[in-house]
Amino acid sequence: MATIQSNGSGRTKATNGQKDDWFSTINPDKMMNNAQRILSSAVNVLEEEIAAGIIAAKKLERKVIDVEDVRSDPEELMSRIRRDTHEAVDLFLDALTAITNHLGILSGSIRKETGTSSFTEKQATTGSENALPVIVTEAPVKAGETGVVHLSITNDSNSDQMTVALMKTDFAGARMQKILARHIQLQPAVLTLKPAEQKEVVIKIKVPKTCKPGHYCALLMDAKNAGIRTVVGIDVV
Amino acid sequence: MADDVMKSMLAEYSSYTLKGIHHFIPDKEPRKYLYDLITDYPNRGGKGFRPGLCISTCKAFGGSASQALYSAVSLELLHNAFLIHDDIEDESISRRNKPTMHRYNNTGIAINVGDAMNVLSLYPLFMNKEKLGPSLSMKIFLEVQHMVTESVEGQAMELGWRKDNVCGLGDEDYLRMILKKTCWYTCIHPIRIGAIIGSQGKVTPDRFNRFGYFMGTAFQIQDDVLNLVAEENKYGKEIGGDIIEGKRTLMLIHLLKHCNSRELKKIKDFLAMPICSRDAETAAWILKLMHRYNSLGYSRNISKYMAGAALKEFYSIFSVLPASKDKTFIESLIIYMLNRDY
Repeated sequence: MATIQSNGSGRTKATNGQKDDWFSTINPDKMMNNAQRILSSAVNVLEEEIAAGIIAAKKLERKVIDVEDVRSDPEELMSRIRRDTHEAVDLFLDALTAITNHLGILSGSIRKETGTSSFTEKQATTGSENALPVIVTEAPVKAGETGVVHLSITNDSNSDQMTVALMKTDFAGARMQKILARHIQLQPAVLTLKPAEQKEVVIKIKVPKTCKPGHYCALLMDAKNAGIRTVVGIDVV
Repeated sequence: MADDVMKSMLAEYSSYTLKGIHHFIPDKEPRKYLYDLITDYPNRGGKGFRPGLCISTCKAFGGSASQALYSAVSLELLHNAFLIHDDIEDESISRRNKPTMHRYNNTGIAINVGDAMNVLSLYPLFMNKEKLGPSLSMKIFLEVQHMVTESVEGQAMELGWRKDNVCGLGDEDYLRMILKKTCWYTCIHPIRIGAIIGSQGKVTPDRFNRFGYFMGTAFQIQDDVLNLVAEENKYGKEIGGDIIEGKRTLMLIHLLKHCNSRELKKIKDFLAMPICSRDAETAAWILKLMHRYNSLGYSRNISKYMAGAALKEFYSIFSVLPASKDKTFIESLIIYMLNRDY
């Protein structure tokens, strides 16, 4: 097959009086109009294609899933119900987590206003000082292995000593999976902090060998002060 | 980030993915006409744009390169399978400075190698469940399923235009074709997949659609312009090959719309001929017309608008993420497109 030789310059050739440098020919108004026209055209195309894709996928789904057929097979029906129930439970858990986070934000705001906050977390992922802090293991952990999270607690008071006694809940995962609280080791679980002192708690989570992969969360809180608390997360693979 | 740093990161992710590809190739016969050929195109040193985008987005969202590796391997296998088949469909001569697979081997073997690469891309997606768990793996599988569907639909659009010698196309037709044929698989899905993995499925992938679309369009137009003006050894494909192949590039669409009736007739007649009968002289004349009617300048401008819009989308999506080398890397890919001189 034949090929064409490049002009080698890599630029628009000067022909019919056109300037080589296209920058010098720019008309800002015309350029803005052109840019707007082409970008809005592109956005329309994208939206149309996405809509067409959704419609096609729905049609395909209707063709592939035969409702009458599913109804006539009791085992398939039960299997679908089980599957859908799991999905519903997952959705419920997601909603619960969202509500917990929201409550955390609200209670955090209240704590801030009353000036009793004395708790900070290392590796908190919320980024907002009002949100319920979430600390997670650095990497996913395999079943049978131990995940470690470090937590820093600071006494914000400049005059009073304080004691923190940490309580823990079971880890909850999707589809009612659990890692029992006895698998969580807190070192130390009780600590006394002098004014303005900061101490670290090492949280070790021994993931049972039978644990199923997924994301698990537990709550850690001070026995005396419910405002001092954090969510601990672990990804089991 | 300096261009050379950005390019070295791209090369690093590309070589990491290439090593991953080697793991997924069965160590058995038939080697000579199948398994040895699978690494031919990936070994020729492509840009590694897709795995680079996938891995860097994953890392920018808090994940690791290892978590994104299997998806990157799958994307790169599919990309190279597309290239082998595209070269046959387009009757291309060279790819990355070497003869295309169907030219140095034969068409049957090249089609079969492409098929094998499509099939091999499935196993890394299946193995994702070991790294990412079943839920994320399923999401990524559906991303890839959508990506491949869109790509073949886009390719069908363009091949149809060429077969029917359609010459009355507009910018919008081009934008639609390029969205389907290139953008989903070059930018949108690699970014979406990287973000899904990095965020553990928490991010809404649809928010990356515009970003990837604008970026992909800028990338494709620049690549098409390079096909006409670059130096062959730098570009790695025959210069002007797109004109010979009758590819409906933005430049050709612009030229067909702006040239006079005599020129239009001559171009149409040229495009109506079988590819093997199209002569280099007429192709050179068409390229000259593209310069005269500023079709190249027009396309370059559109590519810059798209890169600018991609940069704006980037800032609105990625600004909430903490600063990282990978975030800067993605930004510099777009800035490179904006500043690219060719």
